[in-house]
Amino acid sequence: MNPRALAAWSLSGITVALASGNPVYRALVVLCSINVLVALRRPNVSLRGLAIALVIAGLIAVTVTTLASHTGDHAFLVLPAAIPVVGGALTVEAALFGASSGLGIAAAVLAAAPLSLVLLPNSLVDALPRALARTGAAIGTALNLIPGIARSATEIRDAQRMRGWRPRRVREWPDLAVPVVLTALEGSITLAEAMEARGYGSGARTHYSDMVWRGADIAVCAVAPAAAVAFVGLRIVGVIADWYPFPDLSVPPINTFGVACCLALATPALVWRR
Amino acid sequence: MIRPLIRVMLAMPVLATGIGAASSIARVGPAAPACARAASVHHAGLLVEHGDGQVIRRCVGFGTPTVTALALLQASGLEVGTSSYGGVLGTAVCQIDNEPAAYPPGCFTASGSYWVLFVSRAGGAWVNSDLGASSVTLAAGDDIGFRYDSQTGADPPPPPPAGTCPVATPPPARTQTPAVRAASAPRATSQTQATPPSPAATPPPTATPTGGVLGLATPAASAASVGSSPRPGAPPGISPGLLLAAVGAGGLIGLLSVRTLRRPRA
Repeated sequence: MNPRALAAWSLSGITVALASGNPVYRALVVLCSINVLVALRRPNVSLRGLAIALVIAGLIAVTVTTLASHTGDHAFLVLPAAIPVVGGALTVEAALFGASSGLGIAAAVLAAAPLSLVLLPNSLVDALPRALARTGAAIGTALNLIPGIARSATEIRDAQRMRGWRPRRVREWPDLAVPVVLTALEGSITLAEAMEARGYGSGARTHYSDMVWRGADIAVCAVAPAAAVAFVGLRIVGVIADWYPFPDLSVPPINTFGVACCLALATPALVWRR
Repeated sequence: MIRPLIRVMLAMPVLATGIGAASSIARVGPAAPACARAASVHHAGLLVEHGDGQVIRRCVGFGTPTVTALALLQASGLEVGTSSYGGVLGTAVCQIDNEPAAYPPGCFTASGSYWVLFVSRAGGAWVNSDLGASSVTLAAGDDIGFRYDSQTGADPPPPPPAGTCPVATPPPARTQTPAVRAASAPRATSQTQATPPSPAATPPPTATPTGGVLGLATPAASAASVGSSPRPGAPPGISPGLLLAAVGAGGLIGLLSVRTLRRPRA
C-alpha cells in the first residue's frame, strides 16, 4: 500500500470524525478504522494498548461531561449544590453528550492510528513531501528529548541509589537533576553529530526505491478525500445536521449521504491486502 | 537513535489528533450565544414584522433551559396582547407593539390581518407554527418571528432570523418542525372562551425568563413540545439513512468478525 494514500485516508477519517458531533457518523468512522487496523496492521502489532487507552479516554470524557454539565431535563442524580463545579443535577443528556465526545476522540485516534500501526516508520518518513522532511526531523528530535530525559533520569536515579543516595529533602534533589541535565546535553550533541555524519542537511535526500501507485492506492486516495470533502460540504450547507442532546433527548438525525460518506472510509479494508 | 526518533515523529499526528479531539470535551454543554443581553444563560431571537414592513429584532435572554415563545415575547419589552385558544393550542397573540390598535375579545376578526407565528430552529428556515405561542418551546439559538399578515392568501415568512442573536457555536439541533400553519386558528377561537385583551388577563407563561440553575428548572416543554413532537402527517417507517447506517454497520462488524477469525494467532 502507498503511504501517501494511507495518510490521505487518515486525514479524511479525522476530518469526518471531527466535522460533526453526530455519534452515528462517529461510530461508523470507528468501525471503518477498526476494520482497516485489523486487516492491515503489521504482524505482531497488538491493538490492546490502543484499545485500553481509548476506553480510558472515553470514560474520562463521559465522567467529566456528566459532572461538569448540569444541563438537561432528565436528572438521574442531584449532588449538593455546595460542592464546587460538580454540584447540581447530573443528567442523562450530559452523559450522552460525553459519550458522543468520547466517540469522537476514539474515531479521530483510530483514524490516525494506521500511520504508526500499519506503516513502517521509514515508509512514512519517505512519504513526507520534500519541503517537510527537515521540519519533521527537527520536531521529531525535539519530541524525542522527553522520553530520552525520562529514561536518563530513571537510570541515574538507580545508579545514585546503588551508591547509597537516599533523598529526604528537596535540597538533595540536585544530586539527581544535575546529572540528568548534563546527560541530556551530551545526548543532544551526540545526536547532532550522528545526524551530520549521516548527511543530514547536506542536500536533497535520495531514496532506494520509488513510491509505487497501484490501482488500489489510487482508489483509496480518490474515494476517502472525496468522501471527506462531500461530508464537510453537506455539513456546511446543513444537509448533515449536528446533534445535541440538550435540552431534551432526541434521536441523532441521520442523513443517507452522510452515512455513505462514512462507509466510503472502509475502502482500504476492502481493496488493500497485507 | 534514529528509529525511536522516527517513532516519536510518527506519534505526532496521533498526539495532535488526541489533543484536538480532547479539547472538544470542554464543550460540555450548549454554549450561550453572544447576545446583547449577555447576562442571561441562554438567548433566543425575536423578530416582529409589522404590517407596514417595519421589522423589530430583539435578542432575549432567559435562564431556564427552554422557554415558551410567549414568555420570550413578553420578556422582550414589546407590548403584547393575548387571547387563549384553549386546549393544547395555547395562547394566541392578538397584538404586538400596539398593532392592531384594537381587537375583539376573540382576538380574530372575520377578515383582516393577524399575527402569524414562525419558528426557526437553530438558525434554520422559518416554519409556520401549528401551536399557540404559549405551547411553542424554544431553546437557546432558536428564533421566533411574528408577521402581521392577511388571513387570506399565502403567509410569506418574515426576514431571515440571521443576526438577531449572533451565535458563537452551533446550537442544539432540533429535528422536528411543525408543518401546519399556526394560526389558521380563527376556527379554534370561535370555539374557545376568549379572555379580555388586557395584558393582565394574559395567562402566565409556563416558563418565565428568570435566572436559575441550568438543568434544575422544569422546562415548559409538554407532550406537545415542538422539539420532540412528531411531524403531523409524516408517514411512519424507517428513514433511509438509518437503514443504510444499520446495514453498513452490520456489514463492517461482519467483516471485522471474519478478519478476526481468519487472522492467524501469533
